[in-house]
Amino acid sequence: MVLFLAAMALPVALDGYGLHILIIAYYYALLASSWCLLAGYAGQFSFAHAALAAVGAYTSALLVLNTDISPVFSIPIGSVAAAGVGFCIGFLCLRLQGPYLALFTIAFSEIFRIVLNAEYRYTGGNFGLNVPPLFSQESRILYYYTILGILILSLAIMHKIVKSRLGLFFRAVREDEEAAATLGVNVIKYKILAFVITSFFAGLAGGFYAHYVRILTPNIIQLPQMGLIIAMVVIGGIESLAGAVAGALILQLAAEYLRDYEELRWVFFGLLLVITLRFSQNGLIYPIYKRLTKKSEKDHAESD
Amino acid sequence: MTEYLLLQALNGLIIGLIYALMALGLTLIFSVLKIVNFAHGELYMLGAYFSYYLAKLFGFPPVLAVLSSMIIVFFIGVVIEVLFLRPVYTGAVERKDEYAILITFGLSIFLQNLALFVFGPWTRRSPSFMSGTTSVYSLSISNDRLFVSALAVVFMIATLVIIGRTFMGKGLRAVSQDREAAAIAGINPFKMNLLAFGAGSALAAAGGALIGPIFLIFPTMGAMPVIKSFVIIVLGGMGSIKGCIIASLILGEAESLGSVLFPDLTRGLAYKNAIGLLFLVVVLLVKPTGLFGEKHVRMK
Amino acid sequence: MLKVTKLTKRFGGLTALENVSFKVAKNEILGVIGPNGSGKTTLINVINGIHKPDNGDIFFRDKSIGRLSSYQIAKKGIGRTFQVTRIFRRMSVMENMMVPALSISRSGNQEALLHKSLGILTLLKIVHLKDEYGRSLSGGQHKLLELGRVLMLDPDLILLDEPFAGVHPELKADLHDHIRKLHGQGKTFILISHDMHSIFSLSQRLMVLSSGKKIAHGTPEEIKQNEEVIEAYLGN
Ligand SMILES: Nc1ncnc2c1ncn2[C@@H]1O[C@H](COP(=O)(O)OP(=O)(O)OP(=O)(O)O)[C@@H](O)[C@H]1O
Ligand SMILES: [Mg+2]
Repeated sequence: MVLFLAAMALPVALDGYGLHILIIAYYYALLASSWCLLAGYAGQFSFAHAALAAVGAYTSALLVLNTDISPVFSIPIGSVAAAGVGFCIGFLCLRLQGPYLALFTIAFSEIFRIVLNAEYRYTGGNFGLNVPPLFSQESRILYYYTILGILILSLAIMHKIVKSRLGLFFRAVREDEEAAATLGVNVIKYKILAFVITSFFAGLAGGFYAHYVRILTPNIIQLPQMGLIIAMVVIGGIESLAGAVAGALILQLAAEYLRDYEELRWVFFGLLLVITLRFSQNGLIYPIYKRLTKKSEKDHAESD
Repeated sequence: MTEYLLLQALNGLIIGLIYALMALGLTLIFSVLKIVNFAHGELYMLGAYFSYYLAKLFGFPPVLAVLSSMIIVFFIGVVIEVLFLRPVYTGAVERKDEYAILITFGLSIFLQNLALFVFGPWTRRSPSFMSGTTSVYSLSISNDRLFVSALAVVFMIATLVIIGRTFMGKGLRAVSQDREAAAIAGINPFKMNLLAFGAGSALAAAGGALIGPIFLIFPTMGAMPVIKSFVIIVLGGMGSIKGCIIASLILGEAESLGSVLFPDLTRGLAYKNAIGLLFLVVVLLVKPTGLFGEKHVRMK
Repeated sequence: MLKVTKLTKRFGGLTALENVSFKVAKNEILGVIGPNGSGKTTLINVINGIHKPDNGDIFFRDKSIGRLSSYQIAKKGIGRTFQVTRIFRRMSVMENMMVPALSISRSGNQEALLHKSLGILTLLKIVHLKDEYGRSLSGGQHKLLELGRVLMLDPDLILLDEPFAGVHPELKADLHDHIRKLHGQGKTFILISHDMHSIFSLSQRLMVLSSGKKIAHGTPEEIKQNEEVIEAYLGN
């Protein structure tokens, strides 16, 4: 709650650049939390998440450029397109697990990137595609509240999913597909559903991003992008949506804060990722948060 | 046109050999550890840099530089195995597959950025092994390329001999087939892990060191070749050495010729890299055991 | 209740089940014995849809289930446990119980389901562990939780694969009681066990598999006398 109020009030205290940083951080938070739902909860370690964001981004951008539709409608259409592609990936990957799934999704992303590059007549290729803005006014604040709204709404929906029957089945499928099936869980359906739902949110993030930065290049699919998303989720805590969001915000802001260190900060983040993985399977931020809240509960109990 | 095609076919062969070297390392690692090493491209990159610096700064003769760089990367591989992969086999991590994917992927990010920080973003080129060109009929090809191909073949044969003929190789094969059974037979599987990961890393480094004088060296140079090696190991049936070598040559040729035969040249070049990926996707969907592999290998 | 006809299952060149036919009547306990590798687990795997039969069919309440998926078979009222327990390790005991509960009743009210699973956990004497993670339980507790999970499906037919393997005598006696009690409530069982004492005392009829073939069936007394069975065991 406190955080929410702070997020609402922040624009007052920040200049345009500060807002920009936060907008991008929220964009990553949406990508990270939806990947967390897919990988951390449903156990599908897909590397295609950035590519799915690109599906949303390019679909929406090309729709606006080639028809007269407003971004307000094209962004949701882009998200649905991403969900559709997610459906196909989920369906095709039903039999693939572990490293095989990782390789398949990496190959899918690369092919998509190559196609975007090669078909430059339509996509602008590496020179980039100029995308019309979401709002006609040059106002960062508008974008800020829009992405904040999208993020909060999406998180609310994902939180609801995690707490529901659907989330329970996702986790059962993650733990043991065969055992889940013998207990009546339609594994195929829930695996595909996990891809569809999370791809939708990736597409949504991508669509917003396209109409905010207004220039799209196929580089948004590159593996380092995926690496950043993974690092955020892993450092945040792969089994918690809140952890993933915290990971995204903290990493993005830290990257900004440590700007002067240039490459060194990425070396540091890489090291942090590897060490987190090695020593704490629940991430870095989530356990700290848990400990703090436990402690404050205790404090409360003692003061009572 | 035929000459051009021939030249392309020859280039395809040379590239195929480099891919084969790198993919052989990946295969060795996969067959023993049952892990896909997503940091393989970075070991390739390190191999190239070490070889470059040894030759440039310390004046090593090029071939010696390549060998020394392989040794250094062998030990880097050993350290990586001990620090990060060992837990998979001692039961310290619960979701082995996912842990292995993430940790090697994380290492790749770390090493790439470390290289960017230490070596800088500039591109470099290693000193040439042998200058000049050789002409056969009307085809002319640089001596460097010929030399590199020859060395690649030597390294490959050496690897095959070690795996096929030596006591050490026997241990590797035993562990790759059945860890527990090998352990009962008195082979230390942890030692074999070390050896496989070290040797696999050294093979990646060899690929990078050999490519140094032909292509450019830069921190993200491993990104593309590593994907090629993924294609190769999938195509060759994960863990099959024979499959891996055949698949490398197929891939090298398919790319070199495919791009020429594509009707529209600029797009042909752009799609060149997609050919192998398409192979990968189709093979995984239709016959996940690869063209030459027998069974689906997974970590237990 | 269950009719299996000429069931054959091959793995590559290996025939794990060959022309196996048998019936299980309602409220019966059928014991299945046989040497290691004789196809007992495979039989359960085929009945509950993890493997598809290469030949033959399975009828449950006179309807063919040979081509159905595991989850459909589970919903029809067949539950099973695994020889090596397969608990959802990173989910709490309660969450383990809720998976089958919610899979069979989409609209079922949560309160009632929670109440029901608490009841079952109490019966199995593991209710104090309800908030523990699956991975923190002991081997015996895993066996109990697996049984509890299956009961949440409200199955009419329960397939138990080696429920007594590796559990200590006290727990074994408890498991006997549970099976008897459930049997008294009208449940039907197929019970696989290497524990001769248990299986002979619990089963009403026994079937013997050897190298994928059914070599004998009959009452426990008949089986005890059967030469071929003695041979199969001694020969192994
Ligand atoms: N998924 C599988 N793939 C290949 N072969 C299998 C598979 N499952 C079982 N088998 C083989 O089928 C045969 C029968 O195995 P099964 O597990 O049914 O025996 P079992 O009677 O349950 O033995 P045990 O008493 O040891 O549990 C064995 O030879 C086994 O190796
Ligand atoms: Mg068995």
